Amino acid sequence: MDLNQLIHDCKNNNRKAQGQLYSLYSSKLFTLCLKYSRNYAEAQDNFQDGFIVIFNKIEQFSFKGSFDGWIKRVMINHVLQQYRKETFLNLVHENIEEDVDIDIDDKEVSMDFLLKIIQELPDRYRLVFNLYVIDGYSHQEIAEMLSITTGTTKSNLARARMILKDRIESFKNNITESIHSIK
Amino acid sequence: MSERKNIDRLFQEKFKEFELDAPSDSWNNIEAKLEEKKKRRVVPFWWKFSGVAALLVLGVFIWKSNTETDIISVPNETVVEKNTTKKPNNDLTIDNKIEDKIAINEKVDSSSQSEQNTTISSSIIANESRIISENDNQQKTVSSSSKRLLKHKINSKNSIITKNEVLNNSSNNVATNKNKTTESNVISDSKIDNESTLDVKNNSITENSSINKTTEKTTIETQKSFDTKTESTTALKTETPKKSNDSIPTNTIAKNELEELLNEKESKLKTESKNNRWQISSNVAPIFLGSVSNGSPIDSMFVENKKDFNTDLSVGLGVSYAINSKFSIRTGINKMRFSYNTNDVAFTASLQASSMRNIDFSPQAQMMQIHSSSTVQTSDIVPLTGSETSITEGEINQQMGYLEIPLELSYALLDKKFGIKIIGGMSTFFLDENKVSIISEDMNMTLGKANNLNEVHFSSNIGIGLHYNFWKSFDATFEPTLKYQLNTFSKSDGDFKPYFVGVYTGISYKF
Repeated sequence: MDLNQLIHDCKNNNRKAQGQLYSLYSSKLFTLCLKYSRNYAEAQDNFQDGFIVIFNKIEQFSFKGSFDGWIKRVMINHVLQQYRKETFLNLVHENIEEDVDIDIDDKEVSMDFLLKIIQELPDRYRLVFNLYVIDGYSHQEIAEMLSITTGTTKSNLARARMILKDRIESFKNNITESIHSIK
Repeated sequence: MSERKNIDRLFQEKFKEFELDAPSDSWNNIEAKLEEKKKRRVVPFWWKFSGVAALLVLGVFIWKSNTETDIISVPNETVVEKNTTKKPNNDLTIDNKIEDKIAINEKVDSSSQSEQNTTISSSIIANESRIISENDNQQKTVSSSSKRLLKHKINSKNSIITKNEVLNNSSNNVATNKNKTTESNVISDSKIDNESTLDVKNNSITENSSINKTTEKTTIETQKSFDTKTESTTALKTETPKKSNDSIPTNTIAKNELEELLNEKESKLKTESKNNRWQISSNVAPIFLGSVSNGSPIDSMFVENKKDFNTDLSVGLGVSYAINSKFSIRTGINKMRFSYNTNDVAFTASLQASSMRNIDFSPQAQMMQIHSSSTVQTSDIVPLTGSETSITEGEINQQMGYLEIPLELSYALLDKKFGIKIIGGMSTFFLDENKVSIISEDMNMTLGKANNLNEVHFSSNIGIGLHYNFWKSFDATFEPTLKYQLNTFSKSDGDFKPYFVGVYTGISYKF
């Protein structure tokens, strides 16, 4: 079925069309929620509520621009909504050393591990890291989305990178240690 | 092999092809919520009207409570009226209940209402973030304990089972997932490098199969996406682009550009919509005066006389602030005047100074003797010496000018290009013009000032507002409003209770 037709049917609250739209986008959007949420359970919550929002707002989609972009943006906005409420004391604004290169073999770290350390970042760091690194928004855009300054987003991003780097390195060290101990 | 790479790159590459199936029970949950919403949709329709009813009842109550005291002052009718006056009190308690209910229900319904509302606005995407915030908050309140409980049950179950599955098991175990397509979507680390082209293929296949029908168009599209995808993956390997590509196979590069444009537009519109809460307006209104009962604020002898109410004009400026998408609070300043004529008045120049209870005569009017023509007797008249007894028929005109400061709450029933709202509130009137004159065919003479007009008085207001968005942020407004005057006169004979209907017409500007 043509996507435009599907969207039209969804606008008319056609349950079957909604189901089809869901199966088209569910894995993409659920994966997005996994990255933006604290854990699997919250990701599922956000994903389900976000889809309700999508169905409620689909009437507003005016076929200008891509639907993929639109649906993703609505979901991101929904998830941001869940976490940006948290007030966040951000007193640290010093320039963090931007040495974020890391010695890594891709095979050493699993998807699960990377997802886990992203999820375990403090809320704001996680959001900024995802928006900037994974979804390619600019600092300016992120600042507007989260109602903070670009200075803060940059500092948040740097902190997020540092945390992630530390976690990967300590993970690597653990592995090499355990390998040594086996030997 | 270990290589030194940027941490951003690591995540971008890893997550690029990463896609995980949504929990299998999610669709059922969503569907259940959509059903729930559908059922509830019927309710807001009624509540909207009950909201209107409540406002009306409130207005009527204020009106009644005001007339009540006057009814008691008429001794003959007390017995009969007392029974009926009790009723409004009962009504009030019911009304309060209704209002409470509305307040509660509005919480519940506003999610669906505001959605309805937002579908109306033409700058759809503009409101997106704001709406989301509203919706979400409200959805939270909507999803009451029962839903939460259900969810928690499901989630706790899931988080134990699926979390373990996904996060802790090795990637090979993912293949044990019930859904077959996950096999291709959830790729183990090693698979990423070796089988990336295969994945793309798989993904596009699953996409197709989930659409169920492979029309020519979609096959072409997926073919395209396949090509561009492989291109972009090779490009990623050679160059180090700053930002990651979107991870869906169907998302072509061209689409990303469109997306960016859309985002740009969205953020632009978003900043615009942020400031759209204020509205200024100018209005002009013909004022139709009336009185709920007979009586005369001038003197007891005119109680039975016929009164003609003139149509006057009100001009004003207003400002309103939208508290949320439904309610806005408004105030402003209006300059207005109203006047009425008391007919069948006989007057003559006389030696005997006239006395009218509620009028302070100006010096030149001291010599006028005025009567109601129905009760006048020639014996009453003491003419000036040397002149004949000549009684002139005419009318007394009373003019009152006010500066009005309204304070009103409006509730939007419909807010599209064309909108309807209910307006309720009160106004404070400051007296700035006070004149009583006598008019006959060939003369017009100022008698003086009324001494029973309160310097400040109030009115209770209720109205319906219609507006039409004719250009950008400009609305044409049309608001017939009834303003029932509460204490215009400190004392009046009979029971003169003025009200007026103003048909406020004007232009407003949102910013």
